[in-house]
Amino acid sequence: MNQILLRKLFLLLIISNPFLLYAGNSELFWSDWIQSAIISRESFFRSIEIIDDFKLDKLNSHQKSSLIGKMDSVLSPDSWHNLLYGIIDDDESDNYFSKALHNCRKDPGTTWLLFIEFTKIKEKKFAENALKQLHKLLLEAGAQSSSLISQQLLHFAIESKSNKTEALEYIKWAKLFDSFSIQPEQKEFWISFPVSIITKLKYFISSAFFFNGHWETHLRLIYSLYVWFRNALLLFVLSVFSIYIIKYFPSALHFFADLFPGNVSLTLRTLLVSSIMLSFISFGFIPFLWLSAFLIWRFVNIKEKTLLLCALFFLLLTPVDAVIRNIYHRTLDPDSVAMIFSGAVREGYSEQEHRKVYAYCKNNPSDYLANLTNAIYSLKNNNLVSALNYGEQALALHPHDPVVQTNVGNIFFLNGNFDKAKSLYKLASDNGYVNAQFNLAQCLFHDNKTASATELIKKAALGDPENINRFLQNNDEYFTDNWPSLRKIMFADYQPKQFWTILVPSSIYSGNDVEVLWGNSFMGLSSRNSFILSFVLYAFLLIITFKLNNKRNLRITFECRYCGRVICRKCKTGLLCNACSDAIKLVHNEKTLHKIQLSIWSKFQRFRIVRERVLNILFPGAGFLLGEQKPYWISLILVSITSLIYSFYFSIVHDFIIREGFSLKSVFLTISFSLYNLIFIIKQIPLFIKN
Amino acid sequence: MVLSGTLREFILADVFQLLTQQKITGKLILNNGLNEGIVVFKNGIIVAAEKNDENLSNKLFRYLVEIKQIASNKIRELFASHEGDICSLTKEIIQKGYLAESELKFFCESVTEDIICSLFVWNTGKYRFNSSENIDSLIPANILITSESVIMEAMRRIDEWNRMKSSINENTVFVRNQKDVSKTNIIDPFKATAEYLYNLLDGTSPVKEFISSSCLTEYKIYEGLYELIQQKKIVPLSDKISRSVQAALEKKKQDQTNPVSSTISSFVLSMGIVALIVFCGHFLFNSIILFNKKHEAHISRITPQIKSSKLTIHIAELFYESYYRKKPQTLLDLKDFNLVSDNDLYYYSLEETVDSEKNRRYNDNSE
Ligand SMILES: [Zn+2]
Ligand SMILES: [Zn+2]
Repeated sequence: MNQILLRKLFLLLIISNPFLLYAGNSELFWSDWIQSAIISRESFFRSIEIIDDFKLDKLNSHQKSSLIGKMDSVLSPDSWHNLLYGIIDDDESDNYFSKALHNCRKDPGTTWLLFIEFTKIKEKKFAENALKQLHKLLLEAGAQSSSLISQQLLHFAIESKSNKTEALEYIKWAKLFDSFSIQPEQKEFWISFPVSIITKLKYFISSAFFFNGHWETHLRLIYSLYVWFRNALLLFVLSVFSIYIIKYFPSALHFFADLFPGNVSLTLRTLLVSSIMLSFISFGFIPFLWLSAFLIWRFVNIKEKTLLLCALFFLLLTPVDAVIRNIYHRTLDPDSVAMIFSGAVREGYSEQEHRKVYAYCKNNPSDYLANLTNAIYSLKNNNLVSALNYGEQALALHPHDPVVQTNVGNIFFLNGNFDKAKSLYKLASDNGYVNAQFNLAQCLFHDNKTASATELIKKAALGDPENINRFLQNNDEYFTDNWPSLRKIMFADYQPKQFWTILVPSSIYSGNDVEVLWGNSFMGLSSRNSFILSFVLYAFLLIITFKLNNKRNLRITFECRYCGRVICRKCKTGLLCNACSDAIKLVHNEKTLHKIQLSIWSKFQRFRIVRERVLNILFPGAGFLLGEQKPYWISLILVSITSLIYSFYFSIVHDFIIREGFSLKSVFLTISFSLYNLIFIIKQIPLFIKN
Repeated sequence: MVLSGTLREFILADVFQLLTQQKITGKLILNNGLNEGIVVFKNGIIVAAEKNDENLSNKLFRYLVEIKQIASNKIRELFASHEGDICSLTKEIIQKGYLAESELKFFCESVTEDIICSLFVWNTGKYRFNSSENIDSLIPANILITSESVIMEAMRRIDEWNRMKSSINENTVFVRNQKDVSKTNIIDPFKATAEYLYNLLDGTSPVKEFISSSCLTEYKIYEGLYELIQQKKIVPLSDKISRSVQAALEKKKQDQTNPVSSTISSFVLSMGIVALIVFCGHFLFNSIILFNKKHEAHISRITPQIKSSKLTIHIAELFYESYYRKKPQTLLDLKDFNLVSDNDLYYYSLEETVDSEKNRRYNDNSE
């Protein structure tokens, strides 16, 4: 909570700082085109003195004639002239708009800006035409997607929030421009929220568990599930530890509490010692949990020991968590080779990315993926020689990888070396690689073996109908019989399953990075050493639990018969704690004695009940586990359910409220999900009144 | 007759014999500097004895409450009203039927004998005889003990005392050697002393506490415990723990200072310790010794977020410029149109820190 507040304050400071703007140079496919289109649009508008707030869709006749006068001197009118002519001249507008689009049929940046202008003046048909032209340009560039266009289309969807059908239309286009991204699906999910649960759930599940779709989508989904589960485990471990710390710290720390002067109240002494012990958290969370486990170990009973061992087991696995988080971070880092490779396959040529991977390749010449990515970018940049060079290197480094085989085969294909391409495609398609089958068919077409080629394409289409059919459909729609060279073959990317089996071990997992991420989690030990140490500690606890159990153990501490506070044989008077025995020292009447005992007992009992109730409200189930008034298993199940639900809240808050901002929907969501707590609070209220 | 002198070994036997021969009535008062003991003679026969830490009425009270299970508030009044007159007290007890006469007599004789025998162990101090006829109120249940039998018994016990004292310390805490179910029914402490004591052991009370709180005399307790030790039924708690018990007891006596001041000082002290630990852990250990690890981990945690935020902001900027035909003035412009979230801006703003860190590391490496 505190951190969020700090964040808000910090944001207030930086948000109004204009110098922080401009996120640096373009790194995405086509952003250079769009930027130069913006500049040319600006210079055109400036030349005819149209400035910022000029509303193009509400021109009066005087403005129109003056604009025509300014534009008349142009000999070869470009897209922007045509657009403006179209706006001014209502009768010929369709003609002019078509001309505008035709003028920029090789320029994706201007096409995109035209789409925006058409949308603004509500020329729906031309806006759609602009997008179609853009899509064609995308395919011509050998790309399957453009995340830049897709994301901007999503912004359009956000802008038209009030109009649901329009928003969904934009999302449909966004999906067309980036069918691999999870973001359009997410947006669609939230726009039609309660209805979409069933339809989208299928998509999410098939992507996450049946390895459909792109590996990036798969990883994102798996990771968000993992985060949910991980946070639940974390909450579970923390709640178990806090319950037993509350319960057994007084016994475990009694020895230290006795070091304080005896006339300080026992409760205060226990509190002080506990706070000293708690301050050891500052050395790190994991060491503290181990320390407290060892402190309270001799006091917990066998059932609680099992639960603690369970919690400690999860604690033992924290280095594994570091590995998983590292895989996620390294993979989705826009600068990671895997992401650049995926971009190279999916998107068109981007100079920035090419330069990045080129530099990386120079530093790590033995990285096959960097070589392959370099080759693909060279190919998309029409540099066939260096493409061949890097491609052969990648193949030499990783010869049995079907993705390498297919992509290098593509390079040979485009170089005209069909025999080499064919042999590589054959190798890949023997591994059941559909894209390679398709490409092999293209080779056969080249050899005029039309019949077997068609057969192969049919076979490939059976293997991955969605992908192959879309590819063919797009080609038929935009290029009919004249397929551009980059559209003759399909590039290959890893499938989600291969992501885990090939990509992660070969180029994503890095022990050093895991160590960096692990950092100072366990007293500065490396993740491997801390795993070993934790394991030793764990084994030690197991041994003393099950081997040395029947050793005669002397009870060191007792509970005061009146108040139940922990005392030892040193600090008690008779059978009672000092405070209680002081209270009855001068009383000889049995009845008064009984009354005093009852009042002391009920006072401490009330404190205990309130503590349990509060715990049950904060973390339903924890109070039961502490108070042991419900069966052990029921309270355990309740605590687990609460952990899962709280972790779910966290995901909701994190993914939805922080990303999407507060809205009626988010409030509704928060309320509906906090129902669980509400039930527990309502259940506790009558009990509070009763006491 | 006035008789007085210094206590030394075996002199008490001579004094007893003298008093018996002379058939004298009166009180023999012994003092060893710490405690005082009294033996009452009537016509040369012992009729009562008392020691200031062990006296008959206390033991009798405990016997009635513990063994005979008579409610303490019932007889507390009785004992209070007969304070100093044990003769009428014993009569009343018999009359009220709390104890049979024979049982009471046996109890009183046994306790008296134990007290007298324990006086024989005193080797230093002084004795003095006051002849006095007014001793009837001191005689419990008309008991009569001949000095010959007492002297013989006492002589026998002296050696035994020394042997027992060498293996049993009054501060020692005994614990049972085996785990076994304790019997709930009441055991006669005189017929089965050892068993009775065995049931009393709670693992927390030192021998001292038994002596002061049980109906048995010191000697009987030592004897019983010694027997249990010989049978290996009980073992003493390790010296360290016994000693710490003793230390705590002493400390309890010392803790007579003002509770407010010690509360405040304890509080300040522990807060100081907390501050010290947090300082060591958080600042010294994690922020100085492990600074690099901590910082690198932090950076590796936020870098992916920063990069993706940067990308989001870049796209948002491009969109803003494409759509509104002007550059956004501040990040607020982007946020107003819901193009970026707080989260993006937060991570974006962190970029500078990461960059400076990279520069620092780069410089370190080049040097
Ligand atoms: Zn108490
Ligand atoms: Zn204590």
